[in-house]
Amino acid sequence: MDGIDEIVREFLIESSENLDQLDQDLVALESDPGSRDLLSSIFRTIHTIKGTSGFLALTDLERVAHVGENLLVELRDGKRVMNQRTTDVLLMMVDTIRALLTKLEETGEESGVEVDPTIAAIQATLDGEPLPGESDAAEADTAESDTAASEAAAELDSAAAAQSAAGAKPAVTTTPAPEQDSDLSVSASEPAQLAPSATAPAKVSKAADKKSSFDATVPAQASTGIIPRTANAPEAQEQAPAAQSSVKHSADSSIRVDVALLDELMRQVGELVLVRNHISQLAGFESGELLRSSQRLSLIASELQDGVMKTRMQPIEHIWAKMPRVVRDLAASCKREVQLEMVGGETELDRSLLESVKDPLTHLIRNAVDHGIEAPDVRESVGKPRTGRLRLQAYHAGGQVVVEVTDDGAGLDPVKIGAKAIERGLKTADQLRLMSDSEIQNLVFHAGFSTSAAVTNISGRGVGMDVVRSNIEEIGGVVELESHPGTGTTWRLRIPLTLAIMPALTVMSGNEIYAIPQANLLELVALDTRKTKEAIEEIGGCEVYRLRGGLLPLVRLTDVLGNQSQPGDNAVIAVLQADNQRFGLIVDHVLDNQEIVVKPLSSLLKSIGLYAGATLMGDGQVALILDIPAITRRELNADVTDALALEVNKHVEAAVADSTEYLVVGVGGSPLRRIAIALADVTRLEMFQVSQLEAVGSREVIQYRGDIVPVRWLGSLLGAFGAPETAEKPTVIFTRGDKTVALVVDEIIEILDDSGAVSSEVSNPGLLGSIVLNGAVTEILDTPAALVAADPTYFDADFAHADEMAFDEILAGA
Amino acid sequence: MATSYITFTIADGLYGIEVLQVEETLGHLNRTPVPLAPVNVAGLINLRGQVVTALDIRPKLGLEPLAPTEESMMVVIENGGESLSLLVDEVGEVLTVEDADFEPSPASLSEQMRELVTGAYKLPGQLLLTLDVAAATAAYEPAAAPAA
Repeated sequence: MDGIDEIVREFLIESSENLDQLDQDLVALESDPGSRDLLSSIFRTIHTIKGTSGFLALTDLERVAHVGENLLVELRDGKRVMNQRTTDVLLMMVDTIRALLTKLEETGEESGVEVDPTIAAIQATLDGEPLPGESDAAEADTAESDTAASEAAAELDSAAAAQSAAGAKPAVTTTPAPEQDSDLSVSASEPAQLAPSATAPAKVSKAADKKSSFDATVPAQASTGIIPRTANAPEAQEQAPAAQSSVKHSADSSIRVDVALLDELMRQVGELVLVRNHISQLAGFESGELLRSSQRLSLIASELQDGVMKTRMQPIEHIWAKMPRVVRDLAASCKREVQLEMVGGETELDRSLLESVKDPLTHLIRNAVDHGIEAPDVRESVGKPRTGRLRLQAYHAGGQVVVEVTDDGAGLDPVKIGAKAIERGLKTADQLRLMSDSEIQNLVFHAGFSTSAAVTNISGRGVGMDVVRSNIEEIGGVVELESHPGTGTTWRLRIPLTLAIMPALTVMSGNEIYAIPQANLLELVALDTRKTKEAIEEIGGCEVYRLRGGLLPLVRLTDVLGNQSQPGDNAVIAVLQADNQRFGLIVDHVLDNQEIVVKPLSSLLKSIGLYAGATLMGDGQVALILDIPAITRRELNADVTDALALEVNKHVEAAVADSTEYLVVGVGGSPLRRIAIALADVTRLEMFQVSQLEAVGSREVIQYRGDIVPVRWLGSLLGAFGAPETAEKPTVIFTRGDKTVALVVDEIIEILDDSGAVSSEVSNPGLLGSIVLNGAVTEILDTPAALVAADPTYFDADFAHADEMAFDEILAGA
Repeated sequence: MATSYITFTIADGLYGIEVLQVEETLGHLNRTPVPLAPVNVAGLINLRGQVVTALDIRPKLGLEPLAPTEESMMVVIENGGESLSLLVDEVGEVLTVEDADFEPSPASLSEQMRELVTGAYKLPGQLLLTLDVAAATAAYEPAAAPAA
């Protein structure tokens, strides 16, 4: 099990839950064939399984789900009515998927389960042909009689064990069903041969029981080739405990806890803290035992409180961690070049929200890679870099967690979407004329809408956006779409905080404490009595402050809150930014910087629109959290600061866009030469024993993940020698399609981006030039030249085998 | 049929809320004022780690709202999935009253009062006014209905 990827394990847990639901839904659907809710639910489940298995390169699983989905599409579109046979094949599909998942969990791979009969049966149903040899029913019957036989055998078996080993054989020979029973006879006679003791037969009969109950619940599997596997007695004997332990393992490493239970725990911990405070108070006047006990209680209660709180909070990184892999595999299968950037992974989010964000995010990323970013050739022809940029960003804003997925691809074309909407009958041409471009773009959230010309394995059934929106809205969030045809698309998920923890600045205004989210805070300017009067100037009754030469509009918190304004002796300007606007908020004092837990406000207070929530201070007092964007909108005239802010942002973005990330490695002895390799080209870093290198002719190769990979020493390639001889060398792995090349270096130094770096061109073979990175001159490797030197055919590879490659890698990783 | 009410006094009146709708009764807790909130929002309290909105129904009863610093007992009720705390002068006993003693509010009462006070139980020497929880917890804007 350790071999199974985290991502695969999550998929298994999630899918098995989904499958249970699917069983219920399908049966319910049979009695209520017209239910669109049920159909949509089933469709989404299968779609999700298909999508995920696609990423994981579980081809069998994907094939089954894909053909099943085809059938479901017809059902959903009303082209087909649910009947006995449809239900049968769909249940059969569910069973096959379950068998594949079980196999995957047990062995880490999906091979060994026959999927073709299921696919054929579904396809036949789709085509309206009779089932491939209506033998299915017959087979299922045999399976049932088979089951009965195995039960009988099991019973007899234990009876036999009680008597003698010889008793087992006649018992088996009397059972009917001739063919498949040969397997069972093994199971029954096994104990006789293996262990005459009473315990061993009992074990086998248990295994047989388990197996028979398995068969009984899924008779349709008779045709999927499951029976031969499970009915194989020696294997079953080993497998039963194995299956048990693996199931336990999954459950051990990940427990799903009801959020309501966590809430309850949290509440109880709150009460505990209250009691603790009381006891500390009482103990304060005592000494000795009571005091010590109360201090200990105090410590434990605090730790417990922290722990319970943490159970609910997780950085969004947790779900992002899998994205690079997802993007990489997906890009390979779609023949795209994609560079993924992730910013703000430390943003914490309530666990339950995190769960709900995962699927939508995956859908958005799939869409961005498949639909958003164009093929490299297309990109080149419109003057974009071949490699598309996909950016994931998370941050707190306006009392919400915002997660953005931005690509620099083709964007959503309102004309195409409009045409599609008319074709689908969603809108009339007249209606469209009245809609703005962004309104038209938002039509993609409509269920059953898809602009992809061809339905691919990845996406294009119009279910993705539907799922994204319904999932996000379920947790009270919003999905925003911002797309410019030709330049890219940004999907913005706004997720409510509820229990999110955020860093905040606490300030005093009057006698009350307020919290200002750090996300909005740029800097603090303290004004003392003497300076206050001159420092704050007025323009037409509005206060402004000269901040490093620019005029900063000022807003007094007391005015915002409608309190009596009493300009105190001291004041602090908190320079805030929201919605691209910057202003100074005048408060009386600044107290502290702290991590606060956001508590939702009663609906009575939400409508005020000034507060993002409330929080508890250390002394138990309640403090309100200011909703800075709302205050900005209320107090500022949008145009004033807009232009300036945009200008600043442009500069920042330009700097980011121009930079390239480099892996800096060292080769040679003294002096060590710093060589920069464009990080986008690098696949992995590995450590190899020098003794692992083998020779093929004059070339050096290494066995890596079941392949023979050509190896070159970067030092000798660039004429840098004198490196200390070590048994182990760091190696940079490059992969393109099914070609892999390894470059041995002497040291991995760092990863840097070149923004603002000074560069020059030197004419040395194998190098592109040099650049100052982190204060040291670094040579930039001509990566293609080095790779061709290692494997002259490296760039001949096309991506025909990309899928197999990804699959191999999964296996190798498993 | 008999119904049980938690009773409490506000000014000189005796009021009751059905026991099943009451979560607990509390002594005084500090309230954090909420600027710009509706008049009947008395502030936020920390109820064992939960932020609960404290409501003052005095304005709805035509009385002056309680001063922010004034101490008050509280009755915590549940409405629409959230807990809210009503400020009261004193929490009394749980009374079980007979339906036969109940009379709906008189027609002479203003409509707003009739929404809040659903009726009265005729106790010996005193009336127990029953409050509607939804009406008691709704936002109260003086602009919409000027305080009597």
